[in-house]
Amino acid sequence: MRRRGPGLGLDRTARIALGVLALIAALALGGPSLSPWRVDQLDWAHVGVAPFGPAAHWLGTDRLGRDLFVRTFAGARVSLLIGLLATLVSLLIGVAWGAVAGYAGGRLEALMMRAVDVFYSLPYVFFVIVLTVTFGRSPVMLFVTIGAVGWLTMARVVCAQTESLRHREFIAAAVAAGVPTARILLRHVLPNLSGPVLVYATLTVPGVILMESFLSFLGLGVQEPAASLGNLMAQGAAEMEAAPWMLLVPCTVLVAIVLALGVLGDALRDRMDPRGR
Amino acid sequence: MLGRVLGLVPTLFIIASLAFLVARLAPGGPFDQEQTLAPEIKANLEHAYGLDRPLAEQYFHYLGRLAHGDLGPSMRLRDFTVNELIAVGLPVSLTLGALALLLALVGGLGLGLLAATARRAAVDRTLMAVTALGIAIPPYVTAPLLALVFGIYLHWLPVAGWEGGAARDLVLPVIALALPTLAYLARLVRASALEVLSLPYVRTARAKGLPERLVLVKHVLPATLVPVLGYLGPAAAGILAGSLVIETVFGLPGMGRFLVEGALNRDYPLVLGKVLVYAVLVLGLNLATDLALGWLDPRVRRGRRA
Repeated sequence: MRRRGPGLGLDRTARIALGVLALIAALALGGPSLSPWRVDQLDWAHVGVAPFGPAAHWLGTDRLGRDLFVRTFAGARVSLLIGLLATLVSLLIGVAWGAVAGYAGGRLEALMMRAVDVFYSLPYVFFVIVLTVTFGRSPVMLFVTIGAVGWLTMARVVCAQTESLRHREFIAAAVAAGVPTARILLRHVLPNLSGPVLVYATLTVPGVILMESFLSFLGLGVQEPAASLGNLMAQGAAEMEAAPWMLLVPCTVLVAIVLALGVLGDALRDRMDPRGR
Repeated sequence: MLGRVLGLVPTLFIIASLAFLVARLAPGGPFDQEQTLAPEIKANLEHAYGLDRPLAEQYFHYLGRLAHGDLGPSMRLRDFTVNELIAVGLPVSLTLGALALLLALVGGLGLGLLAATARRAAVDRTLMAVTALGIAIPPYVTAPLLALVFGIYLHWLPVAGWEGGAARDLVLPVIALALPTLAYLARLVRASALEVLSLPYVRTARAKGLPERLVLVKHVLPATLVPVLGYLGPAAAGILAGSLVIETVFGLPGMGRFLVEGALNRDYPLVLGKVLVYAVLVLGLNLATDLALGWLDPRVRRGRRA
């Protein structure tokens, strides 16, 4: 079923996913400036207009006459940005934790990975809620908080990978040559981790984007008048009887992002490790 | 068995302490928002709830109460203790969660086995595409969409509400809550069933002339249950988190109600109490699945504990 196409060694589905992602990213970056409307501009002449409506409201307007095309892709920009930054945070913590644990081995590894197990069993969604409420509802805190609880899988993957690297000859050679441990980790272990780390980062981004929209949906994430896919959907859900497009437009974009990233991550993982998880 | 249950106590202790600390690090207190409050009255209120004492003393007082199963009074919803509020919400959330988990299990097993044994590749591929979509769409998207289609356009079911837990009020929330887990389970079951189907003992069962249906039910199904059970803990945690949004969208009086408001209003006992109850539920289910795994797969019981 999986034929290898020429491009990037990815199959057709994955290349479509990549194309969808590129399109959404381009629209998120440049889309809002294509429209004559601004994110928070009210157009009282066209309130609650359906998609393909008048006055260049390509995807309609909301109940305040704000342009939905501009708001949706400005929201997608925020969601993608938070997704990337939070993934970066969880990547930094996860790689550091996993690499140290895996390289140290023995009792320290057991202790550190046991801690990861305990964290895994925590109802972390509720911790994220308490944390975001506690430390203010700024976008910065949002991605730090989400990243800080999302590093566990990364730590496990990195730890297992490092453990298998530890017994390889080139590491032994570095140890024998008297290279300091920190340098071995940075120069010899880290570069060899980049493959799996990249794959799991790709798989972390959609989870983070979903988490952000979940929090924004509850009113804990990105605050009005700024737009994110989550708070747009919350408004859309409140207005769905009169203006269903307000719900459908941001939903479609969110689902497209999450689905494309998931497909891409799975394809990359299959390529790296044909045996699957 | 008893040892495993006792092993939960330190984890719960860590959770309780972490939650207490995080909640208290927050600036502001439960009586800040009411501008009309005279300083003397505020001081009196804080004294009544013990908020004027040192943090360490409050912490030990809180732990002591917790050991007796007392979660304290709610600071914002006066006249109610947290225990009372949870006693109202918990049955609703448990009904919702249990039904959603059941639906996800039955549906996931059925669809997964169907995909794995489908004669025509098109069936398999369609099912996999649909389940990929199901995983990508979170319950807070499906919930309003379902309400829109079945409540507003078709008038089949109520858009929202809760009249003493009538079945018609439960249908949409349960479906919305179950879908992502159902989709994930279907994929899990498919992968695991495909692996089992290629094993020699299945070939033996077929070779001795067992009808295909019996091969599936008696030989393939139990083996595919192992990864399904392993995923049950995370699945339950996901369903509990999802129920938070589902309860908001459909206006159900469950545990999720007041949690967000409580956190925003710094109603410490309420937030801590609810987080702890959620934690007990998740940990309890994790333990139950671990034990069930040992019962189902003797290798887990005898060997190292995974």
